[in-house]
Amino acid sequence: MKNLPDNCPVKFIPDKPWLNFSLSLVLCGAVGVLVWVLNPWFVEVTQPENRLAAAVSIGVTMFLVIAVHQYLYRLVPGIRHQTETGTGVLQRARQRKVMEQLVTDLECFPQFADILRGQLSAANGSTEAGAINIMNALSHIRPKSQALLATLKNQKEKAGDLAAQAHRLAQNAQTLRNLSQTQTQLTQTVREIAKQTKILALNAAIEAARAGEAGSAFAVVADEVHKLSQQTDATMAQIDQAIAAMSLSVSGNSSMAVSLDEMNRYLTQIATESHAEMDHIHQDIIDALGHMQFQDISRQQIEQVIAALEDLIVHFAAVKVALEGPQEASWLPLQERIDALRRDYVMHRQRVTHAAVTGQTTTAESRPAIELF
Amino acid sequence: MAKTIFIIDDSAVMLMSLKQTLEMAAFQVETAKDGLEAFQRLKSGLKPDLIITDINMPNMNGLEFIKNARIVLRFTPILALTTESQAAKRDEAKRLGATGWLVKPVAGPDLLRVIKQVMPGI
Repeated sequence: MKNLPDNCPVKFIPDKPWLNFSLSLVLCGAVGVLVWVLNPWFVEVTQPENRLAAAVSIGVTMFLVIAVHQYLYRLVPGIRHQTETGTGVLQRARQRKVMEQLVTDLECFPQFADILRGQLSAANGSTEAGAINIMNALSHIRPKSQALLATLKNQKEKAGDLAAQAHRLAQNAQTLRNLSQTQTQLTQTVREIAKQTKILALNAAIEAARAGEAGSAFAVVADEVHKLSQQTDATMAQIDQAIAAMSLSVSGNSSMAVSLDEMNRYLTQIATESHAEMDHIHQDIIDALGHMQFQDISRQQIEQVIAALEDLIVHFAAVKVALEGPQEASWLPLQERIDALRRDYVMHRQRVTHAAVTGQTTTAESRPAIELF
Repeated sequence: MAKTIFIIDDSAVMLMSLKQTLEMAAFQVETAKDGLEAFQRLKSGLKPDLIITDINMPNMNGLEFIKNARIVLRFTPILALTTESQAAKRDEAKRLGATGWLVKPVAGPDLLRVIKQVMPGI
């Protein structure tokens, strides 16, 4: 038999018919023995003059029987069971079974709560591992994006240098083109001089022939001058050819410089756009890293649920001890634990969730999320 | 030379997230997992240009850390970055010498903007 506290609302009624039967026999036997012992005195008191004494003695006897019965009733629940009948007995039997089941359930509750706690801890671990994996992946992307960003920046600078070189090349080509034009003008002048010299030599030869013997030496000079003018002509022709070739080359270089300039403008544009895109990727990575803070928030929420489960384990352990033992109920009321939960919250969203369930009010956050003092 | 930021948080995820964000912004980052470890690092000679600390931590919480850190570093800005939203704790942090209070989650660009506001010379 389990000892229950006096204030337990459910009365304990053992289901032991043989014990009840035996105790009833003992009780009846005790009354019979008492009647047998008092039999001579009963005969004596049945006389009319002793009726009052008889009534008193019967009353005393009944009182003794009832007192013994009550005493046994208090000590032995089997007798109580014998004296109680009908729905009350059945109800108490059901309550006793419920109580036994409740005690069994309370024994299982720590295990049940431990399973929940374990599952929540595992969920916490999973989100933490997941967040760390994501950040590891981001950490691999980060140096690559930074290297790519640096390369693009470098390429942009190189494209700028190349464009400057192409510009200088175009300027040099223009200078060469100007020089070749000047040279062409100079060769034209020299050719004119040679032509005049040739005429002069011809005239000199005519005058030398007219002078006869005296002009023979002069004729030699005129002939040499004529040859000189012819050589000048030939040289000028070669110079013209060289200038024409150079002009052609300069013209080609100039076209190439223009092409290079266009190409570099295009490369610079690509580099600038790519740099901007990489910068966006860079910012996206920073944003993604910021969003990882969700894990810390959910971790703290889950940890608080785990702590609440631990509180429940303590609570129901105290309830179970009180149900099983003779001591007064001494556990902390569940309402106080609910209030304690509210006090332990750190996040506004936790207070809002709590208030939504309990119907309590919660004040809106008046301070900004970012506050500089 | 890169400025040094000291982050204190008991969450591995938060430490990793903040470290990467700040390194991408060209800061040098030091970390500690609670207030006690952080205070020991300061006593060992670490002189960060900025401290970012969580509030609810084991061993030594953020408020105690701010109080102790102010003995060693009087002028270094200290930001509290926490899920804690109680006004009383916020006021307590202010009284102990914190420079600002940021409630998680704080987006990366917002954090960098606040750092630029409180850190001299950047």
